[in-house]
Amino acid sequence: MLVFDGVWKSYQAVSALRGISLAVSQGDALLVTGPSGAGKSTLLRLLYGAESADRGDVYVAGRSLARLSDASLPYVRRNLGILFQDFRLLTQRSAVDNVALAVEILGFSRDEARAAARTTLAEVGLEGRLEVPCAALSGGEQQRVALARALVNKPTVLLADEPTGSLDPARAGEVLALLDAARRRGATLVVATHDPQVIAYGAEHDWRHAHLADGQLVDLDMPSARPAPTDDDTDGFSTRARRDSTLRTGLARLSA
Amino acid sequence: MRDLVLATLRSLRRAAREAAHGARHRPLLPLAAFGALTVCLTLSGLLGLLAWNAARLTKSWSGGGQMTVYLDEDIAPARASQLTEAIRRFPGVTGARLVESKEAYERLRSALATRGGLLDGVETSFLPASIDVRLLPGTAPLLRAHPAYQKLLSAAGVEDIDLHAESVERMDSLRALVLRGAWLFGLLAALATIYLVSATIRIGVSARREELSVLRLVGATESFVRAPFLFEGLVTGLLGAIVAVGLVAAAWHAFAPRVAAGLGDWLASAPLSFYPRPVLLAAVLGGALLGLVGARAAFTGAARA
Repeated sequence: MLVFDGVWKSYQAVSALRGISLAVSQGDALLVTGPSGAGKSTLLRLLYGAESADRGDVYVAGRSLARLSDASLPYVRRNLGILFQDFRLLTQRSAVDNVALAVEILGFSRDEARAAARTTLAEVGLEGRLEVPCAALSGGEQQRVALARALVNKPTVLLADEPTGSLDPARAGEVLALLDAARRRGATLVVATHDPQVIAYGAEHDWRHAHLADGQLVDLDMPSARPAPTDDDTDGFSTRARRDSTLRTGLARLSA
Repeated sequence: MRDLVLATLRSLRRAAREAAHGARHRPLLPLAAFGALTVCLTLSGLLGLLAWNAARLTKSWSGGGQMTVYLDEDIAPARASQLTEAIRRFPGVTGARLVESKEAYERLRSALATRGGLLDGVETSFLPASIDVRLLPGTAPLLRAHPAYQKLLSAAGVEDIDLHAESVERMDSLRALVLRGAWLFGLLAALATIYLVSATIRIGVSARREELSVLRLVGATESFVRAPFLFEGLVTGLLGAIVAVGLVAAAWHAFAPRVAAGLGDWLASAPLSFYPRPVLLAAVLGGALLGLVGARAAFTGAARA
């Protein structure tokens, strides 16, 4: 369960997000689209705690990130699988070492971690490139290593920023299928993209869709456009946001 | 409990592996930290050894206290022996020995060493006989106020009494100065060691900033991120201290005999001596601790880099 509760975020004088309120239930997928600079990546960065909201709050698995201590943040991140736009791989290390790292931090031995990494790398089609340093892999292969690292711990939340950016259509389809498979196993999925193939895939597979423009949520689940919140309506939820049934459910669970 | 032990062992193994990985890719950094730490600890060890021996020596010179009772030139041997016996019974006196004028002459000649020829032609009885008295530590000032001392001053056959109080005080202040200097230098060396280890590890942290950032993003705790660097600091400190102890020991074996020969009788009361084993062990552990503290300091203010 992910909840954005009237979230505002600015970088100096530039507003990246303006009063975003939305919720994603466990096992749901949310496609976040919008032009460059609309705030898609900021929304993801808020979810994994790389940024903090200026106003409002973000909840991940029922925990308020605004009230989370620095020491607790890693334990929240362990529930997340993150596929970064720029992969964030350790390029001097092998593919298997990069993926095993995410397992080792949970306290597993190196051998256990490497075994899990090998299995997941095989799932993304990299069984023949296990010991190759990431610097020697193609962009598409690096993206799949990053995907394997995001999937290896079977996270409850999967965040993907432009997950198909470096892939050809066939590989992109495989990656999207892996993400959807994780969703079907119960993971919550948030995908930020402007790739038409991903948007079309989401529509086919019943993913929800949020469209951002200029830091505002202008369209949620396609049917009804939602106006930008006013300054008077930023502490808590806007009236329209309160009418969103998913959000209401999310709030009810958080307050329970 | 078993799980905790296993998890700790895994963490240590991983920290060692990652520290070795970092050292392989940037060997100059740990080498620089190791070299700086070894130099600091070796200098501290040498100065400490010097100060420790100097303190022992000055303590032995002043230690216990001494008093010399000078006798009249024409004192009868029986009276001299009688006085010696009486002094042995004084409070705080651990021993008293009659030094005949001839023995006093021989002592002076020996002390003049190569310049002993100055005494050629001088009668061997030109120095008065005296009584060398050894006192318990700290009793000299008390003895001066004791009635027996006052009585001895005016006793027949006694010309003068020297309590060597000034020289004792001088030696005590010299010893305190040497020890204070050694502690101060040791403190500065420890701070310099921490700074140098911290600075070199900080460079390593900076060079791996991107890697550490990835670790944090995938859920690593700060202790997981820092462990390899702390391990590197610990090992650098440990190895640096072991090498420093070896260098100090080598210097000791090379120079101590020459120093002892040069100082000759000056060292009769307190021969030069090397650090005892517990001190060496403490030095090695202290070096490891300094390395650890230095590595920990490398993260101060840069924890979220």
